[in-house]
Amino acid sequence: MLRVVGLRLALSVGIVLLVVFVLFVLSRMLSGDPATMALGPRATQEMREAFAVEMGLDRSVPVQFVAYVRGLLSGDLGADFLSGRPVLVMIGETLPHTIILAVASISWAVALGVLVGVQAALHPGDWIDRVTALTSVALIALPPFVIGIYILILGAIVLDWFPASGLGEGPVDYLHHLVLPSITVGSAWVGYIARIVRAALVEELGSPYVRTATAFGLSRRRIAMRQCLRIAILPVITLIAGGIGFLLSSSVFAEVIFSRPGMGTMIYDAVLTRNYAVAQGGVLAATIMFVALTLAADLTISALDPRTRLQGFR
Amino acid sequence: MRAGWVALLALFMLGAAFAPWIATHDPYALDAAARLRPPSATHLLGTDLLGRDVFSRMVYGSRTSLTVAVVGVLASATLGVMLGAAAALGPRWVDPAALVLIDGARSLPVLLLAMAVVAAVGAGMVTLLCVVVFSSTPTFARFARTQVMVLRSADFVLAERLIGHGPVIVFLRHILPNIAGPILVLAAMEAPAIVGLEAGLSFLGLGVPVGSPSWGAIASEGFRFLERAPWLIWAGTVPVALITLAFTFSGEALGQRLDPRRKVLL
Repeated sequence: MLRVVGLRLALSVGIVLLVVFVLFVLSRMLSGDPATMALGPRATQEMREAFAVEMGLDRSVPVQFVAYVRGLLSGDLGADFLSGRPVLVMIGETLPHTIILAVASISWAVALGVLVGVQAALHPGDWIDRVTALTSVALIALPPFVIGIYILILGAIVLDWFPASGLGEGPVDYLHHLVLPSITVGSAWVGYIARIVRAALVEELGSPYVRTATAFGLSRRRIAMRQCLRIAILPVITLIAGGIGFLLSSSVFAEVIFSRPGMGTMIYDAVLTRNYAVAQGGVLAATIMFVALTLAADLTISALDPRTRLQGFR
Repeated sequence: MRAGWVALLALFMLGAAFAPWIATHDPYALDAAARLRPPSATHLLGTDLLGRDVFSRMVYGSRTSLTVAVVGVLASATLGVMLGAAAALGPRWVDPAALVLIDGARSLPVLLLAMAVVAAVGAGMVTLLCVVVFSSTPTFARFARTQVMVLRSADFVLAERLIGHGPVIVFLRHILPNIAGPILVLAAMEAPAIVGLEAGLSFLGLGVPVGSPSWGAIASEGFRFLERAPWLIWAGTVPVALITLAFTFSGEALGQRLDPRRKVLL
């Protein structure tokens, strides 16, 4: 197990370093001379040189890279060039809203998906079974922004039950504002989870212990919910672990469509205003979070189910 | 049901091929006098903010979408299969190296990285295709690697090796024809993801260059004028929804045709 954790950790650190490197290379590719962008076109040659020395631009590129990584390690992600606020502070303000959105979305999707999956497994070929088969494929194929727009039109305009934008004030209003975005992000998962729970349950329901339990007079639903679900939940965790990237990208669309402050909208606004430090810091923070979450999920699965443990890199 | 999806996909392809004959207007022609006009006999789906004909832009949008999908799938499949085959058939050290590369690329948040790339170098067709290829190649590579690994110890492959043919010849003549079917199914499954990525990035204004006809861009404008010009949102999202579903269900049908043991989904 220790070896597995070590290898997995090394791969994660490698990925983060790679992203840091890519972001650094991109920052050197920015169109325009940084001194001109910061000081304006009327700066004198002396001012430019002083700026270059101050920012370390006169040193060689590898030295600049080391300095950049040093800055990152001490928590220096740069600052917003419009407001002058540190990027780290901005991330601290927006990240909780994104996490709340992601957790809310995945929670309702798992709850509903498991219920539907149990129902489908107990009655294979039933209408609920066929409907989940169809919707699971359809909702994954549809791009998240299309789903988001339709949900906004339905929930906020046609029905007018939920607000179309913002965060809301106070806890109740906050939840009210959370409904449509979390439906957008979660909807693609419901059918998927239902299908996986169904597949695992159908297999489990054929095993001898279920027959024994049935012989003792327990109902099949009770056995499915109490005993079989413990095993059927494992592939769901694997699924969520593998889909964190998808979760993150659909959160970006949900935040943009519902004008909800968060990491997605922060990075999006930064890209549109060419505020590179904010975009770079945001992407880096999101990547680290993403890699850490995937790592945690992988290790949880290895701990729960020894059969999936990595052998080397396999 | 299945035949319907395949027919719809064919319809989209015909529409893209014959776009100049189907479109009623020049998709780039501006008309400042006719901004955000509702659908009418002259403008079947109304006009956008710059007075351009939305129906014509939607028809030309299929070209953008399908070009990105076809070029993206071809490039990622070629690169991916080469990488996967090299991992499975090459010297021993190639496999772990390729796997680290594949898993590393697969475990990156592609959309966010794409946003950082666009922030640095700007939006454009080349950037867009690079993002698409980067996000799809690992999927093909991993799939091809598994497929080739199954075949590499098959009797007919071993016999070829004993005759003295090198790995490249054996791969091209004997392994590739055998894995072409499953790769094709994967391509049909990957195409809607690419269409969605292009439309999504263009919706955010980070995809196709400003002014090019793209469904995502139409949807983006429609979203800004949701109440004033609702026809824009339908013209931008309905084709995306239909083509992604058509690709997915056609791929599903193709998979069942090639492998009858495959689980029937619908």
